[in-house]
Amino acid sequence: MRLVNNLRKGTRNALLGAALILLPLITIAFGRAYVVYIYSLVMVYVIVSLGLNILTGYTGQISIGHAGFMGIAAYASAIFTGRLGIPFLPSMVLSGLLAAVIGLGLGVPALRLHGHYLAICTLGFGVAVNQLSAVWDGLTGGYQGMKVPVASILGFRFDTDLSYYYLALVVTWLMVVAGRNMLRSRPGRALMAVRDSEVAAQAMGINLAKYKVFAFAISAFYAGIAGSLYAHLVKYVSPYDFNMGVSMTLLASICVGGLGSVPGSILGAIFMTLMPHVFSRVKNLPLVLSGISLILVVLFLPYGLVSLPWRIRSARSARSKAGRVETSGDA
Amino acid sequence: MRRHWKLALASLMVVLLGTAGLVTAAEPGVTANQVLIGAFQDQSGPAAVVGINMRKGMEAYLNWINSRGGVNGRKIKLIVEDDGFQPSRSIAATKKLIEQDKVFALVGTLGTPGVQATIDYIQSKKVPSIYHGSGISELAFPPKKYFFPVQPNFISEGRIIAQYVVQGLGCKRIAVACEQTDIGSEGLRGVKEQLAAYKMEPVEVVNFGAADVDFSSQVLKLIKARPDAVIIYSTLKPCAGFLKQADVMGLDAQFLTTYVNADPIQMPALAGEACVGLIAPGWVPVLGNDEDSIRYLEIYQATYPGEMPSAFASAGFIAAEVFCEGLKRCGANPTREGLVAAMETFKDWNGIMAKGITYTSEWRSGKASMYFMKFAKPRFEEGSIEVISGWVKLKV
Repeated sequence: MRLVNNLRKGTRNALLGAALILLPLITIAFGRAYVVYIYSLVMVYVIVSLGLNILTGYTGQISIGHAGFMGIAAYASAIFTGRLGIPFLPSMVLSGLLAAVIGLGLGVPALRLHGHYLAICTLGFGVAVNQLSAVWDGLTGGYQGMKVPVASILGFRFDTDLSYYYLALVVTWLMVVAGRNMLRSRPGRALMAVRDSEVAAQAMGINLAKYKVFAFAISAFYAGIAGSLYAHLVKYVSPYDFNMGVSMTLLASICVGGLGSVPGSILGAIFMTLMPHVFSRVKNLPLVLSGISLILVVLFLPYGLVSLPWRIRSARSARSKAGRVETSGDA
Repeated sequence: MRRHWKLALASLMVVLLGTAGLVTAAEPGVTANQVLIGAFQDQSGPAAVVGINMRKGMEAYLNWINSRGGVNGRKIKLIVEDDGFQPSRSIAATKKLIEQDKVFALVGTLGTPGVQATIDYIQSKKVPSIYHGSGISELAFPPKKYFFPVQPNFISEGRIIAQYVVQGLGCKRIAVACEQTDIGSEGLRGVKEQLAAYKMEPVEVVNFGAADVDFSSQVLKLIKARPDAVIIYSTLKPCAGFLKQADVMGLDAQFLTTYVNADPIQMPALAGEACVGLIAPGWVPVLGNDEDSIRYLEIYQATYPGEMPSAFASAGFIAAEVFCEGLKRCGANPTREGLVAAMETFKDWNGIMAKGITYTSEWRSGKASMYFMKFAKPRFEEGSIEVISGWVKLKV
């Protein structure tokens, strides 16, 4: 039985992989080559949303400053490759680690802070990083920003939208699989235990401090990898990329997609990243739509868009059992 | 859990392919009766107040020219993409405009970050890009074939100020006080280049940081150099601080500064008495009772009745004007290369609001003229700003 399940899982993954490999080619065949760039942008936000979801959805620690981690790593990646001449791959990993170390630092005060106070602390962090990147001219190029060289691995230059898509796809795939495996193993279960009840978690022998700080670090690492990927995709970094609005959008995207869910993070990131591009010619519509969708999700789908199918299914089964339409959910 | 994955996969495909399908509206750049142009302008983000007004100015001018039959029989259609002032979205917008809509040219793109992020791409696609809501010198130095910036950059502004100081005010001993940012370094470069044309050089150059509050050592150095004129190249706050310190320490010279600091409200508020006599250039014509101002208001208010245009709307208006003149010079069968060649025939061209625009293959700081004004009173009130010169033209 397990073998059959594994086989089915394997086929499913292979199908998903094939679909994602073909997607840009189909898009180009339809004459929409520029959309491939947007796909890569979506994947950047998939990674950072997943990271934020590990922190907020799985561990119950809020962060309104995640764009700060992205920014640190994006600038780091730009400086590593552009000024220090470090190759792309090591510099991406280094940027991620740098973000993780700073996440570790932010995790320590977070041990003593809850709810609103943690929100204020992370908000302050995000704003501070943003301001710093604007005024630290010598390092960051100030408001004028800085250009980022083309990513290249062993001499192959990812200078087209298509090649960069595949680079981003591999990185995203690795990050999602790693994240999912981590969440399904001991550390992941420990994080969820911390979220559900700190007292109960401690009673079960979970080191609260260790896991909270770990959650911050791992989440920052995800944001860092995303930031580095962003820098080499856009090939330009400036303070305008990583402001508070971006942090808020990230938080909104995991709420809309589904807190504490890997597919939810992906869904939310796709939704929130694509919408502004689809409606970029209608003034203010993206803002209004994201606001409305957030309100609707919070009111009617507290587990996010990802919970929609089982909400429908449970409503259906309730109807068939009781022979009447159940209008109010109990989730 | 598996259900979630199916859903995630299904929606990924649907949404992504959906976007690919949704945004279809293929339009050629030039048809028998239409020319399509595009721009990214922030309509909802931090610079929305600029973007919305720039768009209004452009639309007002285009409505007017279209109502008169367009340019060479073709009406101009403008597509505005909202990029939220985020460079990642400016890139997507530019790609969409060029690859999907196949716009003939980009006109009036807004914002230093977006412009910086798209320069290389636009150059590689060989699409003319006229007017940018950004003062970065990179647009003009070195000259780029498809870029025609209009707004002055600090290098060309520095040259105009130096020309005015030497030829207009007759000063011989010129000193420069620079903030250690791109404003200071680019402005100084312009001043030096122009002085070199007169076989002169600054008698003294002093530097300070953007966040400095004490300027005593710099002022002391300047007093020793006995300048006739001091050009302060910085942002508003240090400029005001510098003026106050110079006033206290008795540095007696004519002070000039960049157009960035020609703020009739903030400058007196920060510098008080010390700003009286300060000279600064301007580039968007002041609205007055002259023929052009009246015409501009008429055209603008035909689209936006009863509304007074902001300075950003004037900028958009100028952007549309410059493009339409280029298109007109392009003749009956406009091509992108033809537009580039036509733009390079601009020599001190005057439109309704656009004044003194010059391009050659070497000179791409479109705005080759500015006028000068003087702070006359220590507070903002009637007559606190006097216009003291006509258009000072830079000899290109």
